[in-house]
Amino acid sequence: MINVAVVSEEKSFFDLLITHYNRLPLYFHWFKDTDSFTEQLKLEQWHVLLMINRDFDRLHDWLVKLSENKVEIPIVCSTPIPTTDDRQLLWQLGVREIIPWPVHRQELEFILKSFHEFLAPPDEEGEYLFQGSLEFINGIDLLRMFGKKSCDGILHFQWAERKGRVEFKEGQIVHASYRQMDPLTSVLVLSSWNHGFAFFKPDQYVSRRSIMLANEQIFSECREYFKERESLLKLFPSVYTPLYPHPDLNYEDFGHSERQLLHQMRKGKCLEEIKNTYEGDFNFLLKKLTTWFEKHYILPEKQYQSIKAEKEKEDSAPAFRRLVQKIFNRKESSVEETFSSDFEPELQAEEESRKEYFFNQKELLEKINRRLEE
Amino acid sequence: MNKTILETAIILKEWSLILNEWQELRISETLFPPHLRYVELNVKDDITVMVYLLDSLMKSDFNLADKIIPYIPFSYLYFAELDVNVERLMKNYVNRYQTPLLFLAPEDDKLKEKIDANANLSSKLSDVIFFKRNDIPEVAWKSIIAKGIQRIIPEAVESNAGNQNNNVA
Repeated sequence: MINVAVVSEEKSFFDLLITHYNRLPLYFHWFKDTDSFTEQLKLEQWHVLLMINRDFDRLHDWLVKLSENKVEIPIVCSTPIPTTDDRQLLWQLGVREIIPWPVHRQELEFILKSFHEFLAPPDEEGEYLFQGSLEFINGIDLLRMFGKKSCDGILHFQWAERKGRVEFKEGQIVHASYRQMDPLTSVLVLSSWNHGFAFFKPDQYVSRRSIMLANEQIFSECREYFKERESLLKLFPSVYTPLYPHPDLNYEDFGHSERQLLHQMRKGKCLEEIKNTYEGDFNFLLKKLTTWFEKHYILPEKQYQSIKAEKEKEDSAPAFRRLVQKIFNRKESSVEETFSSDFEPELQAEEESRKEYFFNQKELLEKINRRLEE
Repeated sequence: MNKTILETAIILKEWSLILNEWQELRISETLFPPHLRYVELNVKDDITVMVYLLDSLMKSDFNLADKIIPYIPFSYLYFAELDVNVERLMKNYVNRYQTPLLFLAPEDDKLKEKIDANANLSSKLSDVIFFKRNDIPEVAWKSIIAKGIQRIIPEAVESNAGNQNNNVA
């Protein structure tokens, strides 16, 4: 945790920080001015001094006072867009970074997150307490290894471009992050990896606790996650069987990412390949694939080939004939229901549900016809 | 003189497309139901054809069409090219109505080439009614209506032929 002393005449700035950035591993404390800060300087170990003031001259006075008191904490200043001269002056007064106003919320979050790296000592080789391949170790066992009281730090996971982390504080898993997932799901996903490698780096700066479960509860969740995956996989013929999207699938019915996945499957993809290329929560994807498989949206190779052959035969018929047959011959021909009726419900309309034909003046038509022929 | 009015409808993608075929058509719009466009054509002194232009089937909106299609003898599906829109219109029509549907297309070599393959088509679509592009609307529609009636009442053709034979005799 990084202690940030916020010096600002207006408490509202401090309130904004603690409201919007409370999930970051930063502890903010408010001081009205530099005098009140220097009074309490020795009571706490401060890592960063964040000075916010609308008035540049006032900010300048504060910095002069701090340099007189020989305060050696890294200083970050925030003020409405400073001129080049103002910036130079601030740097001369020992300011490490300037955050000019206005600043976007996400931009500020990015800057605040960088405090950690900006203050942490540079990485040195051989600093890792542990490093190993994930192919040879079970995820739960790996997490359990760091469940000792003495373990403070971050277990980094890396699999090609994918990176995630699980943070430990005194052996307790306190936080995890992987993509945009919530902390617990991140632990579940990271512990299920059996590719890539992991390394543990002792670190005093760990995030605030976001996972409230005890380690054993987390491990039990991990086990449930594995079991769920196993049971979902059993619904498929094999993880190595290539799956194909149904030739008649209407891609417009799917969302962007689903379409992308189905498109990738057009040349056949087995579950193992999908797992290795999918970066998100694979169980979530598996549930979706299971539904698709049950609805015959995706098919194993043999079934796909037979439907495709039938379709090609149908496609080789002239275009107009195909068009008309598709509409009129549906009820006459005994086309086998090769897939779920959910695909084209609009074509399932029965004779009874169609609007009745009320015209019955056949003689009138004959009369008109005779008149037209004259 | 008694006038006979024959009502029919054209199912098409967009009502204004009909102007591509006959620029001089006078298209009227009813006050109620609103947005119902129609054309009145005097094909004979005593016969007027009222042609409703229905393009809402394209959007699967059946409000207007439900008020008309079940009560008319037949409808025409107009197309100048074979594409997915034709399929969509056909699908929406066939799934909704039992009223006979006929196909109407301009005489166009390219289009005919595409339709050439229809020699062995299903009996429900023996062929498409083609009209000459240069004919004035009244002349063209006289023939379109006659062909339409003959399609749905085949015996009308026979009786006509019989009448003509009698006349000759």
